[in-house]
Amino acid sequence: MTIKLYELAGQGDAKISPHCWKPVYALHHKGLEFERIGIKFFEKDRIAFSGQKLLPVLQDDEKTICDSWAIAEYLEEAYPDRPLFGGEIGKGEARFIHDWTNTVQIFAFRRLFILDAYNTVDPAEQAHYRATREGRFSKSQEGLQSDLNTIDHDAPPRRRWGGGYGGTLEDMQADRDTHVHDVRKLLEPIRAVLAHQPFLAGDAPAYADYSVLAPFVWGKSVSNFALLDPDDPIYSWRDRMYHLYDDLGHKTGYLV
Amino acid sequence: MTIKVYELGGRDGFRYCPFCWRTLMAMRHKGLHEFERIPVYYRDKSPIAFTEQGLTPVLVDGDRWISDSWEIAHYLEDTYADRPPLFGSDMARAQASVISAWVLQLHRPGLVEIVLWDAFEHLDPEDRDWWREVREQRHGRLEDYKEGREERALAWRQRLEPLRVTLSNQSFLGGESPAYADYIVFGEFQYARCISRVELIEADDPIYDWRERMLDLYDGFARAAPHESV
Repeated sequence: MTIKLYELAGQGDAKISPHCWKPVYALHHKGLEFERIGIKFFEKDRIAFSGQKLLPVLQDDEKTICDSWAIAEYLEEAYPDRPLFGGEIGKGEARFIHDWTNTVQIFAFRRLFILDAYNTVDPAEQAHYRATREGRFSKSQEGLQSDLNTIDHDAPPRRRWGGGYGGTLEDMQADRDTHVHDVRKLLEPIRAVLAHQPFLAGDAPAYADYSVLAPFVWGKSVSNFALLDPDDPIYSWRDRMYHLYDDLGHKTGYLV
Repeated sequence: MTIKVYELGGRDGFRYCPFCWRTLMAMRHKGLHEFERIPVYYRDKSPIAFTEQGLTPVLVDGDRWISDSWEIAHYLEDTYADRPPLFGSDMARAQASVISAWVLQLHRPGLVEIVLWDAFEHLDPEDRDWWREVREQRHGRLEDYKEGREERALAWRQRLEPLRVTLSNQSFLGGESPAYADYIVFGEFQYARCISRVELIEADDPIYDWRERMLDLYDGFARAAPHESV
C-alpha cells in the first residue's frame, strides 16, 4: 500500500505548513513512494482516524503517525537505509535543530509571510485563519523577542519583536523590509556552519537540512518575498536543496 | 606519557574558560582520567609558544599537540575510537557544529555581558590591566557591568528556548547519554558557575536538571571545580 502523507493545504492545493515540508523531504530522502494529500482547515474530519487535528499525518499500512518529529523517527526506524540522523547521537542533535526550527526560525519567518499566507488560504477559511492568527501571535514569544532585542539594541520599539506584533496580519507583515534584516541575523548559526561545510549534516543533506529548509519552502509556497541575499552562503545551500528530488523546491510556489 | 591540557588560568585556582571545559569533559568522556592541567595566563603565553598561536585549550598527547577545542574533540574521537563516542558518525560531527554555532550566538552578545565583571574579578591580578584595556574597547567601562546581572540573565534565559524544548524530550543533546554537543553547551554554564553567583536558570527549568546531570558526570568532576554559584 502506498504511504500517504496528509498536509495542510490552501488554494489550488498549495502546501502551506512549514511542519509538513519536513516529512515530504524525509520521505524523498528514504527513496519512498508516497501520495501527498492536501487537507484544508475545515476538512480536518478527513484525518479523524488519527485521533487528533494537527498536520502532518503519515499513514503507512496499518500505522498512523502524527507530528513531524515522530514521523522522522518512524521513517528512520522502519526504513533504516539512507539514514536521516547518523546514529543515536546524531538523532539527539537533529532533534535540537528541529526544535530550533520550530521555536526560532518558523516564528521569525512567519511575520515576513503572514499576510501572504492568509491570501493563500482558501477564501472560505480566511476569516478563521485571521481570527486564530491575530490572536495567537499577539502573545509575543519572549525567547525570540529577546534574541532580536539583543541583536538590535537600538531598534525603535515598533521594530522589535513584541512591539507591533499584536496587531492585524497587515500590521505584522507591514515592516518586513526592515524586519528581514533581523531575521537574517537570527540565521547566523546556520550561515557560519555553511561557510565551511556544504550541508548541515556534512557532505550530503539529511534531516537537519530538511528541517531548516522546510520554512523556506513554505515561504516560497505562499510569498514572493526575497528573504535572503544572493551572496549569503545560506542562499547557495538553499539552491542546492531546492535542486534535490527532481527540483522539488524550485518547482514549488514562487520563483524566489 | 601523561596527557597535558593547557587551559586559561584565573586567580586562586579558578579555571573557567568555556572552551577548555569542552575539552576537559570530552577527555573524561573518553575515559582519560589522568591528565595534567597546566594554567596559561593572558600576560604570558610562553607555555604554549610551541603551538605558534595564543589560544587555549591546547592538548599534548605524546609527541602530538592540538589546539582549538573543536580540533581536539575530533582528535580524541579518532585517536580513542574504541572508547565511548563523542559523535559516533560523520553526520553527528557535522550537526554538532550547528550547535556550536548556536552557542557562539548566545555567548556574545549574551553570556559574556552577563558575567563580564565577574570574569574580571576572577582574573589573575597581573592579567587585569591588559584584559581591562582590551575588553573596554569592545564593551565599554567594566564597572557598568557590576549591576544588572539578573536582568540580563532573564533575557538570556529566554533565548534558550530550543534547548529547553529538546531537553524536555530527551535527557541529553546526545540523546540518552551525553555527547560532545552537551559539552559544547555545558561549557557556557560551567564558565558562569565558576565565576558568578548569577542564577542563569530557574530550578523548574528542564535545562536546570540537565545541568545537574552534567555536573554529576565522572564522579562530579565539573561540580568539584572551584566555583561561585551553588
